[in-house]
Amino acid sequence: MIVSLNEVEVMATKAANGAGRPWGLAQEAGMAAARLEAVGLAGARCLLRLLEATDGQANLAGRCPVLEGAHLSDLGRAALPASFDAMHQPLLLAPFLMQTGGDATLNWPDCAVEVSSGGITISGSNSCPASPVQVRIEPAAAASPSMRPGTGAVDIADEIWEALGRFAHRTYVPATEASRLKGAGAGLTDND
Amino acid sequence: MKQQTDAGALTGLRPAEQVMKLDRMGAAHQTRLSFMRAILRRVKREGWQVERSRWEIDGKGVGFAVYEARGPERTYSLICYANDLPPEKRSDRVIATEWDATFALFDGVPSDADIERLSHNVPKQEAGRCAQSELVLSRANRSVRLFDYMVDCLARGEQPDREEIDKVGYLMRTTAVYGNGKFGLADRGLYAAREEAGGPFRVELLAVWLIRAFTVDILEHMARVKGGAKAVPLDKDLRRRLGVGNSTGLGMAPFLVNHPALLNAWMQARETAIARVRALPVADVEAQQRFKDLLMRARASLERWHTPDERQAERVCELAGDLDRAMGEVASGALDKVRPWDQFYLWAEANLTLEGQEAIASLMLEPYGELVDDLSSEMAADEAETFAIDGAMSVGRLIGLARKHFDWALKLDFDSRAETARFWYASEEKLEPRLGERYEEDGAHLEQRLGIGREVVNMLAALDGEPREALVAGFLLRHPEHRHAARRVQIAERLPYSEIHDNVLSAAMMPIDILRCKLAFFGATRFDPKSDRWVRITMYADAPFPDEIHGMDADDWAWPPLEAADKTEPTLEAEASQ
Repeated sequence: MIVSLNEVEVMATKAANGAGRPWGLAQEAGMAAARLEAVGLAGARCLLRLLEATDGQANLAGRCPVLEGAHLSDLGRAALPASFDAMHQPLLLAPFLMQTGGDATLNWPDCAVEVSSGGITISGSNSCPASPVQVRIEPAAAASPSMRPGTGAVDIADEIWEALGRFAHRTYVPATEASRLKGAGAGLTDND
Repeated sequence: MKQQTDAGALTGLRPAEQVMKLDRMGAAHQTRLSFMRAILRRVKREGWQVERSRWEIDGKGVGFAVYEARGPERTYSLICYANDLPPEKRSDRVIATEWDATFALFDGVPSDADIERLSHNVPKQEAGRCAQSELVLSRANRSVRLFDYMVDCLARGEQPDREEIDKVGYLMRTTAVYGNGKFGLADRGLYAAREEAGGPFRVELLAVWLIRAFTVDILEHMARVKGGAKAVPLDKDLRRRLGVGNSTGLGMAPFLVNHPALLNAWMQARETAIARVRALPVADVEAQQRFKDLLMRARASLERWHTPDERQAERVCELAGDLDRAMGEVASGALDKVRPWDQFYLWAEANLTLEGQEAIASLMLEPYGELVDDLSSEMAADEAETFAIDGAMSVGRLIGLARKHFDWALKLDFDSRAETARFWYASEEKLEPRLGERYEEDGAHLEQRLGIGREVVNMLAALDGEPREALVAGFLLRHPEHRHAARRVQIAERLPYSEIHDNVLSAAMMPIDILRCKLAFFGATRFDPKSDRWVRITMYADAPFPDEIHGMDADDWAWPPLEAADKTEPTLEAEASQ
């Protein structure tokens, strides 16, 4: 599925909300997924794996990269260094570091990520680990990033898009004939 | 940042607690800064040329057309797909599946392959897919009554009656104009840095201006099909009276609430313009004359503002009275005083309805294009710039800011049914925004968080037991459900016009007030509410067409020039006594 970055952000926000993230945090999930996709990384897939792994769970402190990423963003550079013992989808932390001006490194087994405000450089094979990993985040001098944000559409595998759509679907209220007429405010045809 | 570049004028700005109230937002009028006007000023200034480069439409009115708008740097092309729509399928509701015409604004000049590809997608609208080469997706339905009448007239070789045209005001009305990445369209990021396209809704409203040209071309085409050699083209003065209609529903309301930085940029620009004019020490003869002329024109144009909506009809009537009073005040020398515009505005505030006050605020800007038009280039905003939360702020400071900027919400009782009567949600079908009755309908647990006032009040309650010196970040890590409210409070501190100062969950809330405010910034006129949540408007009525804009004033149409017939001063009293 070829989708615009705006569509990624809207879908990711709704999906996160559908999976139980409160609205403000869901918006941050949308931002993170779209920013990763914009630099060419699998933000939608990482978010989907996160939502699947944590669906219905409470108290995600230390485990959810959106919650902890938002916290890192809230505190800015003062939050670094930081480490987590069992973090889901740590790549989703990167956009939050970009948001605060960046220049940090993230490391987890078989993967290293350099972040600056201008983009991301990633090395290693384990960008979307199947289970929680130990992550260490440190402030680091800015390197010239190899992946910079683009403005084009992105290609997301149909099964990922559809699975996100299923989470998003939980936020929709089923229509009734009454809501169709009343909720939208008009039941007129307009042949005048 | 933008909002700090005009610090000198900031002192005289109307405060948010005044201009961000829904009743005043719901009385907004277009101004010099409105987007349609800024677009046409640019088109004229930069010598844009519009050519109808393709016209492949058959005798049934089915086929496609292309309009190329060539600016100094780039060309934007409107691709139009014309349809022969059975009457029973014609609906303005977003749930319709077929339209009289569908449109895409293409970035550049489309190839035959592009036109072919889009012919399988654009007519399907939401059910189709566009690509990054398309900037806007839209559709329109005919006003069947006026369209058929005008086809008949032109086919017979006669011009239609002006009164018949004015009763409706447009040949077609758009029912959606989509941009910014929807349905695969180009993301705004692709063109945000372009001078001609980076302003808010510039590409969407350029598309509408071109659609207006298409609506007349398809009319004349059908008249030729019907009348053959007898058919005549539409008289250009009559043609100019036609705008593009639009039906706008609830979708725009969540947009405005969800774009606080953008809302602030629009309001800040408009309020800065008003403040600059109010700060002028004198009004010279020329400015006074221009203002008087426009008051007359504004008064006369009300004769063409038709609405069966009782509330709005009454307000139009009151506005007529307001403008009469304003003309009287000006005639008695009100503008000869010191700081005349400030005095005059204050007089309006004390004596006129909100409709009248906002109309005067808009009309005051008219003589001063050189003083205020630059502000139209400062109305874009990137929400990402104010998205990050400052978690190093103390809890005590966050509480203080929340109390300062949301004092209006703190006065409300969110435990009452009246203040929580409504909930906003996305419907499963078509995903359109809707408004539900919390205590009568299911689905409130899925409500969208648009009631920012209530969110902030809830956050304040949760902050009650927190140590004042603790950091906001720690609180939000434990209570991520309050991130939204914390963000909005911090944005409100930076951007004074970012929040509507009213409760959008209230039983008394009128969604059309939010719609009207946004549509006035677009440049829409003749607001015609169809319910409390759905409004018809006219866009570009009386504006130049592409083939005449370089031969006339591009920016003298929002309060259209008087014609001989209008110059006898209309009075409502006279009408009422008949």
